[in-house]
Amino acid sequence: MSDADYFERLAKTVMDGDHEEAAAVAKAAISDGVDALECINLGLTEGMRQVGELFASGDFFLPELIMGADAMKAALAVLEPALLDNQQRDVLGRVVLGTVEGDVHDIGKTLVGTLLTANGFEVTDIGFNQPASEFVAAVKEANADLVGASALLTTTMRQQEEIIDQLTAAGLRDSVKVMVGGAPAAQAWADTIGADGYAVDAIGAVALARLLVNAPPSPEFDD
Amino acid sequence: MFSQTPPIAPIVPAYHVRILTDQQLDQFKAATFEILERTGILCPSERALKIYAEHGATVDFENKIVRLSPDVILDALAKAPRHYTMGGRSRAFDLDLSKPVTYEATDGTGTKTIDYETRQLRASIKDDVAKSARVADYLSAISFYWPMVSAQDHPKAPSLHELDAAFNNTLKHVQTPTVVEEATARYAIEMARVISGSEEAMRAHPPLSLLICTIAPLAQDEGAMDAALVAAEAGIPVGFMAMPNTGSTAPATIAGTLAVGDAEIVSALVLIQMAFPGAPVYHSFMPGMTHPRTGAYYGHEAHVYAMGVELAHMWGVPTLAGTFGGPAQTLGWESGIGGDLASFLGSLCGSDMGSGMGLLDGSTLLHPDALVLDAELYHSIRVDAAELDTSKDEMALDVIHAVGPRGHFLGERHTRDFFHKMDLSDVVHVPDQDGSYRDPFDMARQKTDWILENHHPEPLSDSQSSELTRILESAENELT
Repeated sequence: MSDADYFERLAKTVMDGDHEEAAAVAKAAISDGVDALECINLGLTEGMRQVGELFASGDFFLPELIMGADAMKAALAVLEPALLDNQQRDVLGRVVLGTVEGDVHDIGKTLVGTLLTANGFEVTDIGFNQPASEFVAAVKEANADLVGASALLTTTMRQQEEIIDQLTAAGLRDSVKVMVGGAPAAQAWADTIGADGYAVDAIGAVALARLLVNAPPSPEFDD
Repeated sequence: MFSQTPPIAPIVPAYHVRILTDQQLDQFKAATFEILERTGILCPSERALKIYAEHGATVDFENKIVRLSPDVILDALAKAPRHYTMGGRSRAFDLDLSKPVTYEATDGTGTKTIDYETRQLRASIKDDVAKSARVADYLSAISFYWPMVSAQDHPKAPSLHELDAAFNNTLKHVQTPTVVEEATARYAIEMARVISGSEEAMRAHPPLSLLICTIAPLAQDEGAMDAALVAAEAGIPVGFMAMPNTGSTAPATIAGTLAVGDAEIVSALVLIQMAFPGAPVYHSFMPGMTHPRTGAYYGHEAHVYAMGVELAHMWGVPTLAGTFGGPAQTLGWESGIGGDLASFLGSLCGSDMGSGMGLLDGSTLLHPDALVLDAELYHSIRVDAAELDTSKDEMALDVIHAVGPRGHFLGERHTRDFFHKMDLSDVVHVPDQDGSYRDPFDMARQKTDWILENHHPEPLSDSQSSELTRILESAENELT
């Protein structure tokens, strides 16, 4: 099987949302001596681009995006350890994501993380019901470029402001952009608390993240 | 090249309601017996009076009053078929009234149109019928077509031009409320015969049915009854619609309105069965409410129309229920309320047919986008009435176990597959780029424009078209 065949098969596993097959093809590619970085860039990323294109055209729904991203993650878990010392996967930015303290809603936040990963971001998901201090600690540890704080309740959205305050107090506010989201949030709320951006949904969050790290807009995910 | 007409999607109710009790139905039956035996009905048609007299009615020829005894009524109605088939241009669009479903139609027949292109208000013309028929042909919510507006640009034989535009632009069954004279009816039947290809085929699958209105209170129209008799003789289904207005042409009570309307309808159904036993007929109760201050009419609450369904079935005939429609003069909150509930309730009561989608302003104004919007409401109630699938695949226990506590289902193949089976609307809940939903009115306009640009139903054959043209020319020469 040629290298090109492997790239095509990897892209197809992403299109099919088949994480088991994605990992299996990635292992076979490494065994056959195919360059891991090329597998990522020419196989997985190309597959995710096609998924995004079909999503944008209305042919794919959210499950295809998530299943494609899961397949990509499964293959990356095989391919990244095989990268050569001088190789590094292109990463658009490092993101810390979490749902704020007092709030246990995390599907939206998880969806944002999945799509950010599939779009070339390195995501640290700290989970739900996380105090502002945990966001700050994670930003420090990951040397994050972005932090995303999700709140689904009017009673918990104030924690988004608390996170910004604590990032400022820790001297990190100038080095990290803050995105807020969740049902009660809005652009006006983001402006009020001094966040750098607000997105209404996961697709919008990808576009916002790209904007905040000065990455070119993606035709599939750009608002 | 023509485009395929999508299959129709009738309402298939999985559960049923009863509004009137058996005792109340007995009361209404007794009321109709009493009204028709004691006060009787005014029947100006000489032909009809003779038929009534020959079959046991008491006829006052001088005053044209017909009185019917309960035995005469029951003997006649015993011959009426409960079920029959109304034909489409192809068998795929036949309406089988023996099925436990409700078929819905457009509204008719208005006189004003918001022009499809200029969006300006004007008098309705034949091309409006053609365009609305094409939109109706595309919409699965519409099982059969009423010419929606009057062909006022053809003053000599407008109702036949409406049929011509309808037959040329939809494969679905056509039902007309505007063929109300004997001569016109003969031409209409000739047109139906052309569509069917033969007399025999027309009788088996009539592509046309007539709707004849009675006159409230307790009267029939001479020309319309003669037209009904001509149609019934040819095997064309004929329905009788009573439109009593509560407070003006009917007592100011719902029960009194039902009693007057039902008596009118029954008197006409009896006549048809006396003349042509077994002829396909249907019952239609479409009352209005008189505004106590202005005298203007407006619609009743939904349950009143559904009660008409129960009266029809009490007499053992199919029904055309009043659905949708309303007094709203423009698209908005008012145009969206009530009609769908009447359709829903009628369907749960077992209505065989319903009509009323797509017109505004008391069924007088054709708005280009109203039909698409009403079709959305229709599909919503169609889903509400449908049976819930509780098969293993739908219960999805495997995937519930697999996801487990605090997981989510968005990454599951099962979710992916079922999302793609969903019948997503292209009018409501259409995502916009900012995460909100697009304006349904804009989407309806877009969809209407798309249909008119892209949907061209299978045309009639050249010989059928030229035959229809010949019939129209003859009619225009004869009819004034």
